Amino acid sequence: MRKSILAAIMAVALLAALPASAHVTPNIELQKKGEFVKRSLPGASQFFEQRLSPGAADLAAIRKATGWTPSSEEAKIYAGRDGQGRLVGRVILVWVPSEHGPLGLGVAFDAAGRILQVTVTDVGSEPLAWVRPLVEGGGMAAFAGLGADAAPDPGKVAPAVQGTMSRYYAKVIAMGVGRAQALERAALAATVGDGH
Amino acid sequence: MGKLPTGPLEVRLAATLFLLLLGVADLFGAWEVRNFAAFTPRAVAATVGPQERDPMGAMAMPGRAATVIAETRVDLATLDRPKHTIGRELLVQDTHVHVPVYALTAAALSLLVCGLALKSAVRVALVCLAYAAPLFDFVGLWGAHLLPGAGAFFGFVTVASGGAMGLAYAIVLVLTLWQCWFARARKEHHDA
Repeated sequence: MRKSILAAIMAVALLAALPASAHVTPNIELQKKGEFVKRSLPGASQFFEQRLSPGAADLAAIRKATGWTPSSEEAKIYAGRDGQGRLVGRVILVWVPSEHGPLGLGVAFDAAGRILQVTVTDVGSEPLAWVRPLVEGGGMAAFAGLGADAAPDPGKVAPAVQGTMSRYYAKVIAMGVGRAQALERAALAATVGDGH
Repeated sequence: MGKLPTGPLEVRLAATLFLLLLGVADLFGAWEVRNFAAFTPRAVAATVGPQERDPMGAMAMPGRAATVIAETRVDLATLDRPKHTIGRELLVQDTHVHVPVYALTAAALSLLVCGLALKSAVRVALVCLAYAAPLFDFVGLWGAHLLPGAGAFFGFVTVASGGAMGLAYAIVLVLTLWQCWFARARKEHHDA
């Protein structure tokens, strides 16, 4: 009888553990997106979400440059405007896949498409150990000042940080910045309509 | 069959503790539903329904000549507000994880029902309820996902099935507590 009860208790404990084991590793938020948008576009007093609909040529150009087809699930575009409605800049939030889960990036551009700032907004708990040294080592500064057409160089992302996985994530971040630049190029060429 | 109320102390204790622990799991399950889904049919349908047509992807079709941008004013505070939706891949995972646990829970409840002193018809009804409620819970979720036009109906099926799961649990809990402890104590007191 006691053995049966013990077996029953163990079965219930195993059942309880099943859903827990199926949960995916949660992302860790390194930077609040709203704060990043506001901070990186200090001259802006109004903010807009922009929904980009690339034309055939721009879409082909994005695919050619990045090997990626953009979707609004993976990328969000926010524009900052001053009191007169003039464009101050854009922030593109983009999710980039990696071997250990997606990485969230924020890339801020000025009105001419030059990169102002790059930040890692979200990262999985597993790759955090490889990404954090790049961020804390000032690696994101490597992208500042790049024009919309200038290819990001992962080798310049915190070069002092060694380790295969950290260097891999430098490439992932550079790939994400490249995707944001491709969208920015399309946005610069786009006609702005009313979203309502 | 029907011998649980007169069974040994340890068997009644195991049955009761199982039900109480399951109740804790159910409470947290309801909390999780509140966090990541909803308790109203329309909100359930919105959570599992196909995602809103993707403006960037949907309009990125060959043939559109010029790139256009539509913009809407945004409150930056909303950027960090999580919006939880359940896409097909997550729904597959949820189904894969939940259905076996639901089946085993229904089996355990059915076992207890068989041990309770009840009429056969009542046992049949409770066993059917224990298995049907979780089945229809996922029928509702998948229906709302695959047939968004009938999302409100399938959302209602999910909400009603969730309620039915709670009802099946509550009935078994109340009957077990009553028959194994309270009615038994009254009978022992009466006999003494």
